[in-house]
Amino acid sequence: MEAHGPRDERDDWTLTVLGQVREPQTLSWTALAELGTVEFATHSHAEDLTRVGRATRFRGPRVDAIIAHAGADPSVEEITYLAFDGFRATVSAEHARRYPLILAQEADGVLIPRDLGGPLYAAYPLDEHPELVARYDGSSWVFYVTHVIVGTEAAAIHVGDHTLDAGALDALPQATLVETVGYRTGWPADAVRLEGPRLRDVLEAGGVAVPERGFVRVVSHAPITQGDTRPTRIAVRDVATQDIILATRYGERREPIPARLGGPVVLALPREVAAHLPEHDWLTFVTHVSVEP
Amino acid sequence: MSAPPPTRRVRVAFTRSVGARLMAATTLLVMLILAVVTGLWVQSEQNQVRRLTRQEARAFALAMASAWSNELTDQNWNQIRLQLQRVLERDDDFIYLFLTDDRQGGRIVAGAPLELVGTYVPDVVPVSVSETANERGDRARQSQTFLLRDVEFPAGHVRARRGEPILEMAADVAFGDSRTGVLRLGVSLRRVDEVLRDIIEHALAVAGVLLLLALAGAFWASRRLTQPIATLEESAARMADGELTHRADIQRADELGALASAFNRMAGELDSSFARLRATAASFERFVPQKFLHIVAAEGIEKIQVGTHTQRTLTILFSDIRGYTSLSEASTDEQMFHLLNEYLPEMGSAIDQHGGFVDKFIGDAIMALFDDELVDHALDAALAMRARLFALNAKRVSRGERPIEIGIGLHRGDAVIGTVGYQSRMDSTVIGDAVNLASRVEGLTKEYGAPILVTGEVIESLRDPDRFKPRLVAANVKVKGRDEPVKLYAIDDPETPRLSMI
Repeated sequence: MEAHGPRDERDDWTLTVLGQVREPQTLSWTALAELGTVEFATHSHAEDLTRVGRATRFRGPRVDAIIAHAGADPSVEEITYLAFDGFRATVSAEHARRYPLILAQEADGVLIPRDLGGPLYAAYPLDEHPELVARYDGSSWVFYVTHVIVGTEAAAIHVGDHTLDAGALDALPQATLVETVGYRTGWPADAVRLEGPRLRDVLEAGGVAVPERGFVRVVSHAPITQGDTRPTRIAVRDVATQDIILATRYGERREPIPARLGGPVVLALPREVAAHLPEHDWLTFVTHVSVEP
Repeated sequence: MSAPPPTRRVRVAFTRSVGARLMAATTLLVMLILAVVTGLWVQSEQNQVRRLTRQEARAFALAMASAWSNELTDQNWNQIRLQLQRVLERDDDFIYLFLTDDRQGGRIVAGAPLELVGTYVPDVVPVSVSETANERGDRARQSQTFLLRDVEFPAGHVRARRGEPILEMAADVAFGDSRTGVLRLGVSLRRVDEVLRDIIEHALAVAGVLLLLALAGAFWASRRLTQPIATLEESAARMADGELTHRADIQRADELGALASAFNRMAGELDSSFARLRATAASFERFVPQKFLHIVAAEGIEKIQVGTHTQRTLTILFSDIRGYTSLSEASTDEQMFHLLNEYLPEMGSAIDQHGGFVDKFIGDAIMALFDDELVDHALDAALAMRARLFALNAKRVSRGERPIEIGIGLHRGDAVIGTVGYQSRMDSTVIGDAVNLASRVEGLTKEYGAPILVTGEVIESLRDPDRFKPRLVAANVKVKGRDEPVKLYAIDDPETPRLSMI
């Protein structure tokens, strides 16, 4: 997905619904609108000075309508928003059913520009439902939403011509890292135990040989990782010598990584590699691994 | 000789005085120095404040550019915008703050105030400033410029006005080795101007205080210098007024003290010279009566000339010791010398006390003059001479010495008083028939048996003739040297009986 300029951004913008749904869907702007929109006025979170002291009228489709359209599993308890830049926030499925939680397309009757958090902007009716204030603070107001993940999707790593599911990943030799992670939100601040197959083993399992020189490209659901704007590229030397893993479990109890933490698969970097890579290379929602020269 | 009038003190207008000029020169010099120092100080402070402002802006821009590198790379523009707003909210000196994204063609993707977002060239500063900002480089780029329009932040509140001077600082936002965008920060120089205003006000206040101190110091210094001058001027005036014993009281170790010392030495020399001159004049008066000098040397004895004369109406008195010749033959020269120095002071004192002055001593003879209005005094003098003679004779007798007798003749008439001789040897004299007649009358005192003989002209001029009881002794006497006969009167004094004419 390319970055957005001043032209009408809605033409390119899509919303992908995946996870515990009947079938993953990618909805166009128009399709979203056709799901029906809800409007409410609310005071925004205090961080936006352009909205301080006044209520903003947000308008957009309800989240529960969106996931229902995709056939969401009704037993799901969490719905995770994923933004263009990889930011995520999780809302209660129950709240989505009970309250008009929306992905706003308009603010005060005007389409929301990309620069100001649009085209899809997670909004909450806090004025009408102040009981939601404590739960949905400023970090829940996700900008430029690109994905709605119902529950946690099944693991699927695309490597070459193969797709490795959770079982295939678990079948690979597992490595463990105990590191202070660089994931953006939701993870503990101190060291966390992470477990999963080594990146080189995943490549091998996918039939991709690790060259002597070059880079291993890792891609996630977040659109920013998919183009050339900000690729996550790890030198093959590090891949070959370091325990860079695609973690599928975390903590002492080796729990599967939920979508609210960026799972099911996250890229975990040992200290030696993380020291010379940008922090945003701690990728969540990993989907693809490939080799580049 | 009359005393000179008091010296007129010269009053100098203050504006023309040495003190005023000294104060003016000192004050101007101090003002010039203060102006230069103040100007340099203000300039230095201005440069310092501007330099610090630039440094702070540069450091902030570089720090923020580094801090938002990841966010800009992730195109998390809205999050950047929210943070930029908070920065602007917390610091009034920041006018605007925004980031451009090179991947968006340099479009402003996040910023405050909000109206800048979405544009490529902000309309708040000249285009040249944007061009400078977009230059590539590791160092921050600065531009000092002016706002092209009012800037509101938050909405409805004017943060800065059109024309306000600002400093823009631009720094590259990089990801790895590549530039991803530019952070541009606009800082108001209003605070700099306010600081400079405070500095200038403080500088002017300090300069004002220093100027007042300088004025006071200049006044003190001028007083220190001019006071001794005024004292010397006063001393000179007092000396000119005759206070030759006055000395200038100036105790200083500088040139003014030296001048005062020289002045006092001069005063001392003048005092000594005048004292000698006074002594000389006093001695001179013993030879030339003061009253005579008043007549022939009214402008002072130093200006007396040979031939100076004046005609006056005088009462002329001649006296002579009877039998002086025989007396001198019976005495030694020393005895006669002592006699004269005992006799003449008595007679001269009697004459002085009655307003006359002794013109000359001719041996034992005395010639005295009385101004016209002192006719009565002349007779009083003659009577006083007789009284003193009586007392002198009593002393002589007590010493076993012979008493002496005198004859006194008086006449009133016109005479010429003046100087005769030549420049190196001058003498005063009185010439005229009246002088001769007075001498002749004195010579007739023995013949008429009257110790005091006066002419009719004297009696006719008396104011109170009855007091003297003149006795006509000759109504028509031909005197040698005069064609017209004269009247002669005797003045008897019963209190001083005359001795039998010797």
